[in-house]
Amino acid sequence: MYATSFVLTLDRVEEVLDRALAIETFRNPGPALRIAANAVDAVEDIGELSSVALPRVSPESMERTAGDEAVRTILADRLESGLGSEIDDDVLEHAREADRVTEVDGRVIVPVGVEMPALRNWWLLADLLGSRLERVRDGFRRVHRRARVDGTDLVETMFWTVAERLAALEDALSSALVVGRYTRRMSNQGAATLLGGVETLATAVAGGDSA
Amino acid sequence: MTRKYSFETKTINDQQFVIAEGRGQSSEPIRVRADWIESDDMEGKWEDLIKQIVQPETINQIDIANGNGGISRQKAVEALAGATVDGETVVSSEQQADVLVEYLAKEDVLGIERDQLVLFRDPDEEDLGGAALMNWAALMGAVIESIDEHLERVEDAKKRFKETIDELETERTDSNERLSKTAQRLQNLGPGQGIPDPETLSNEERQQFNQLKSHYLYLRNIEKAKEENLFENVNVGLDQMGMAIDRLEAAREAYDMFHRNTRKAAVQNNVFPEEALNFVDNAGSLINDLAGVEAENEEDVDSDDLEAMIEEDLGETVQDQASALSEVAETAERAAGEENIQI
Repeated sequence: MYATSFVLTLDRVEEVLDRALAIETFRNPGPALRIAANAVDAVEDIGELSSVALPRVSPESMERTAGDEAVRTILADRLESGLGSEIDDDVLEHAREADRVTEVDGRVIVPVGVEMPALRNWWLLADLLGSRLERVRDGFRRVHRRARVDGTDLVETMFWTVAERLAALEDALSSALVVGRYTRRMSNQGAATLLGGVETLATAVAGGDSA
Repeated sequence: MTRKYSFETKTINDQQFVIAEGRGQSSEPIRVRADWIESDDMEGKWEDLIKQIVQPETINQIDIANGNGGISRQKAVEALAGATVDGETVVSSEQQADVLVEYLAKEDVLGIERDQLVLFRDPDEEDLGGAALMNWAALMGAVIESIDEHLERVEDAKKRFKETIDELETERTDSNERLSKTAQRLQNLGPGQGIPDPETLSNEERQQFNQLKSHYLYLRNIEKAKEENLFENVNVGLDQMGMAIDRLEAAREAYDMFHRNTRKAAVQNNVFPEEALNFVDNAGSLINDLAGVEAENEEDVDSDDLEAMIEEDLGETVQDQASALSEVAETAERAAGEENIQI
């Protein structure tokens, strides 16, 4: 899986959002329903993409790793300005050196997945996705408020679930990030070593020999 | 041992001093107070001196293998030169500290082997005198202090960890609210309490029903994933910390007892306490572990990522992240309130 999938899917969500925001009246259910159905599909895709790596919180993948800044820059640029955005030579070199990107036919792609270092890329992406999701969620909340005024119950329900789903996704990502960062901080504070050290202490106190 | 100095003790104004002359050197004689060693007090003021050398801060400089060990002469000199005992400066220069170290060796408080000070000798191999026992007691004291420092740090980490859990709990409340709002919408489709049978609904209501049902299942799956992968993870971490604290405290208590007994044995010129022999056997790895925790703090980052690291540490700390979460919670609550008013 590549970050590109997220960028494209998010672009699609935003494109649907733009169409929804352009609806002048919700009284005519046909077009509104079609747009709502598209929105549901696109949001579902984002959820599906995110679900692959979401449960993988490991201290390792939360560790700052060489090339983080480069990957973050590439991802942020693409999320903001699309896939065509130029990559600075230095940035690309750093990402290459750290073996964090793949290049196919001259195109730079950022792998995201469940194995390192793609898992690390995923957590950087997850962090960036938050603000983008927030923006579209707010947009769909606006659409929902308008649909509530003159839309049918079905249209109102559809847009309500879209906004709610985006909010749930946002929360899930931020929960995972909060927990992950703490896991990392713990290990940095020497929790693991401390535990190992405690074993030795405990053995000693119990009257046993150290290894 | 090759001595660098020759010593002469002198009493000046009722105070004992030792005058050291550098061997084969034309340097000025160096004078240091000698009442640190020549004390009538059995506990010996040199105990204070050894304590200055064996500090939690210098513990990682101590090297012990098979019950024998010490610290480099230079490190000991540096520690003594900056030390005060009861507000009094021990020596006023590293040169004086060096004299003091060698004088301690002359008085058999410690040994010198090349550039190393031998502070600890294996009580299993030889009968140790009071001074040697007191050195062990000093090490136990430093280890206890070091454990206390670690305990404080782990307690602190645990506290912050607990705060995160509380923040996550707030978010969990939001998620539950989201689930129950969806359930409420499902119920509202039917005529009464409970979830309606979709067969009894109109075509449009049935479409709403299906939409809400799939939304409900989606939210539920997210919740399940969070429970299984995040909360469990956090709770395991918290349990581990709790266990680490319990075990550290238990260890500390035992060392406290060793420390008291060894010190008493030193003062009374008794044999090394049997129960504290475990300390001797494990002292080397114990010190390594205690020192290792410090080293772990250092992260291996290239300069590229330093800026991001600083930003994350100072700009957006986890606490910030957590408070951002509660802001989201507030917004969600406000939205819920707004919607309730509408209904």
